Amino acid sequence: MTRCENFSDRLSLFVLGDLSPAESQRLQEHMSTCASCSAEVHGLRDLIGELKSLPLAQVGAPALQEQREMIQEQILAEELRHLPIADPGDAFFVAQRKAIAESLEQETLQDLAALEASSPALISELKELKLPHPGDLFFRRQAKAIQKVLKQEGRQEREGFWAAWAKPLAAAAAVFFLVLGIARITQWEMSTESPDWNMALEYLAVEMDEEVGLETIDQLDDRQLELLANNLEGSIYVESEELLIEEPVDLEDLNEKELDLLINRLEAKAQT
Amino acid sequence: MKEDRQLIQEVLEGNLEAFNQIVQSYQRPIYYLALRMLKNPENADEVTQKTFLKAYRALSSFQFKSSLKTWLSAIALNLCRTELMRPRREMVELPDQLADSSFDERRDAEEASHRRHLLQQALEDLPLRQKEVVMLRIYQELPFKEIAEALDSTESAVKVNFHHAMKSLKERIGHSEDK
Repeated sequence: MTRCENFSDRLSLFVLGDLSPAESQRLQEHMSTCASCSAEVHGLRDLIGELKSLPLAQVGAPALQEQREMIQEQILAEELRHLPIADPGDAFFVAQRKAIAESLEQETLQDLAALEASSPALISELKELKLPHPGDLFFRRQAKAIQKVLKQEGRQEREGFWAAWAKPLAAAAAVFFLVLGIARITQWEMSTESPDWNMALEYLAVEMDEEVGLETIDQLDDRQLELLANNLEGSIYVESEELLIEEPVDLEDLNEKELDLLINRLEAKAQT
Repeated sequence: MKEDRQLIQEVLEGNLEAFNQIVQSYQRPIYYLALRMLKNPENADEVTQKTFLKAYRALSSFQFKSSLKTWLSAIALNLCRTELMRPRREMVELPDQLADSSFDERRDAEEASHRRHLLQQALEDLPLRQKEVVMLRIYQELPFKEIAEALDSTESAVKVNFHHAMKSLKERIGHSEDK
C-alpha cells in the first residue's frame, strides 16, 4: 500500500476538521510532498462548499410560527385525550383551573372565584356532568381555549391585557355556556327587587290594612293580583315553564297553568 | 436561554411551554433536514410536526446519550424513510434568477446552475445511508460519533459511508465536466 492509499479515506475528514491533531499533522506533511493528495483535498473542499451552498426554499417566520402552533395543538389534544375521563369533575377541571390560574391576573381570578362561590350548585352540577368521550367537540374547543391561554403565558403587562385575553376568555366563556346549556338548569329566577314592587306591596298593605304575606295572597282579588303581577318584571321560569310579563297582565288572558305560575311566584315573592 | 436538559425536565413536569421552546430551537434544522431529504415542503412540514410529536411522546425515554438535536434528527430521518417509500409528491426546484444580468454573467450563472443541478441530482442518487450521513454531517453539522448514534451504526462505518459518498459525488461532477 502506497502512502497515498493510507490517506485516501481520510482526506474528506481532514477537510471537515474531523481528524485528530496528530493525524492532521501527518497528512499535512504528506501533502507537502504529494501534489495528487493536495489536489484531492482542494477538490473535496470545493465539493463540500458547493454542497453546503445548494439552494433550498427558505421558510419564513410566519410559516414556522404556524408550524409550532400545529405542533402545540396536537400535543395539547393528545394530553387532553389521555386525561382520565371517568371522573371529569376532577382531573379535567383541575387542569383547566391550573392553566387559567397560571395565566390570568388576580382580578380575573377573583371574578372566577366569586362566580364559583355564588353558584355552588351550578358548579357541582357541571362537575357531575357525564362528559362525552374526549374526541368530541367539547374537548376540542376546550383544548383550543386552554392552548390559547398557555400560548399567552408570560404576558403580564397590564397594557393590552384585554386585547391579549379577549379570545381565550371568549373561548373559555363559550365552552362554559356550552356546558351550561347541557346542564339543563331547570329553574332560574330574575331579580324583581324594583321600587315599584315595594310600592305595590305598601299600597296593598294600606288598602287591606294588613301586611301582604303568604297567607294573604289567596285573599287578593283580581285587581290586587294584577297590581302585584304587573310589578313583577321579567320572566318567570318554573320547571321549564315560562310566563313572560312584558306589559300589563290581564288575569283573564292567563290560562290555568300560567295563573298557577303567577300565584306561586307571588307567594314566593311575598315570603321574601 | 435554558439548556436542553433543564427544558426537558420542565416538560416532564408538565410545562408545555418548555416544549414549545425546544420546538423553537430545533424546528428549523429539522425542517430543512426533511426538506433536503424529501424535496417537498408539504412533506417536510408533516415530517417536522410528526418528529416533535414523537419526541414529546418519547421524551421520558431520552437519556442524553446523544444531543437532543441528534435524537430529533434520528426521529426525522426515520420518518423521512417511511415517507420516501410512499408515492412521491412533486419535488421542488428553485429557479435561478438570471434576469437583468449581462451575457457573461448569465453564461457563468447558467454554468453554475447546471453544476448545482448535477450535484443535486448526484446527491439524490446516492444510496440512502450515504445520503443520510451526508445530510447529518454537512447540513446538520453533527459529529460522526453522533451520526453513528442517530443511525444506530458505528463511527467507522459512517465515516466509510461519508468517504464513499464524497467519492461518488466527485466522480459524478468530474465525469460531467469531462464530457
